[in-house]
Amino acid sequence: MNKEEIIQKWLDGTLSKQERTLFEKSEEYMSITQLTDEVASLKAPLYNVEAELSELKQKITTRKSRSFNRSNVLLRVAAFAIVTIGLGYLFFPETNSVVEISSEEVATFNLPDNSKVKLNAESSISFDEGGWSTERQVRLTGEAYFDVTKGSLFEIETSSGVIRVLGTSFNVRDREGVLEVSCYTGMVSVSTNNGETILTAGQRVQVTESFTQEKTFLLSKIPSWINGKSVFQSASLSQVIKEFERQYKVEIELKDIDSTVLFTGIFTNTDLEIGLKSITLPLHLSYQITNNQIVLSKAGQ
Amino acid sequence: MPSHDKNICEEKLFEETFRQHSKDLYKFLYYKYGADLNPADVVQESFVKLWENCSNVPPDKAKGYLFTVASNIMLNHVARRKTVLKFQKREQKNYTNENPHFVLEEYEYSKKIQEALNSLTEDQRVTFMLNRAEGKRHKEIAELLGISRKAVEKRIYKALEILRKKLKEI
Repeated sequence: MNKEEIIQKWLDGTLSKQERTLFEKSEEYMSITQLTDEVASLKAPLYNVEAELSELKQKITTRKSRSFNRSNVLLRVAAFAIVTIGLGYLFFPETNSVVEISSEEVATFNLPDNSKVKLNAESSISFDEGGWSTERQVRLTGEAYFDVTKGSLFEIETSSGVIRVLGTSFNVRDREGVLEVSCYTGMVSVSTNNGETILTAGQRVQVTESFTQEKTFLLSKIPSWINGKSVFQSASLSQVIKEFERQYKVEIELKDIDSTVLFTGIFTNTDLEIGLKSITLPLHLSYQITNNQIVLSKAGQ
Repeated sequence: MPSHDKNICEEKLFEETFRQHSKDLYKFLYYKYGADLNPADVVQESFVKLWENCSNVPPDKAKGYLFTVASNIMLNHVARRKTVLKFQKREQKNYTNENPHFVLEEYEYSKKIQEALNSLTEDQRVTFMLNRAEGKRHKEIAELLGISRKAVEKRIYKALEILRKKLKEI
């Protein structure tokens, strides 16, 4: 093989181990790697597909050229835990094996490299199974806990930001315009329009469109929802109610109650009435249940 | 092959088309025209045009349509001036404990590389960066750009040659 062929194969990553060791001793190699390392550092900035898609949809609705309804991707299925797996893109000949998983309940599964994902209620992820060896990228809506094996860069795209990981465990919650990332082990980088934040084990950050909160500290080793509890610290009542609705598949109406009131506390995800009492008692509210509809009002009325 | 009775005017298919092509289109525009001409905006404009024309573009022609429209939009932006391309350097190391002389050398080397990249043809630069900066294989790049694998190899090798030569000169 002449010099040109060796360099070609090296560029394509197809040199044999022996050939590589030989090449790496050459003078050429030093100067070429310095050059290509520098070039690699000029890589294009991260492109957040989900965030760009949200922006695009807004642009299109404001142009009013066609109506663009929010279609509900998640199908409502029955009471017990069901995970629906849909293979998309059958009509695009060049792509293969995109897997999309939506969950009504809490669900656990493995990614192709044995990284583990636990989805909370009404969350979904999708990823390209075929491309998994070169690029570990996942799109997430809702909330999930990830336990990522060491390996190539692992990226999670949400509508508010991109999370990049290298062998670690962490929780990502993207609900109601607030992105919250909690790192339990290892290290995680969170990139949004407001900039980049790096979290180490035991740290959490919350990001909204305009603001990134200071890092706070975690007291527990895993998210509470994995143990069947929803925990809140100074969350608005409307956030608490929304999570309750997701966990129990009910609709809650507030009668003459200020939903911006802050709530700190826990409700269980496994017993509706007990869970409900955990919210209503501290706030002096009463409830009335009719099938899947619950009405909350001030106690004593 | 399944019949294309679906078209891109259907919201779900349009979204999937975006998810499939937007990132590649973005990178293509970035390496070809640089950061200053706002490649992310041009990607969005291209998809808006696709949406507006959705009934005339069959799904298998979407990619070609998008790349053509995007290039046209870019060319309008560029007009007839010579663009100086600036690539943002990504934060890599924390330089605080390295000696200043070394840091200056690194900075100047980086500048030389950017100038050398500017001197490549657009085709050479895009192909080279997709391979060296994005880590894409020759086969992937060939598919993305719609050229042969041999053509990809030639461009990358030529680009490398030119860069090495330029760096020796200075």
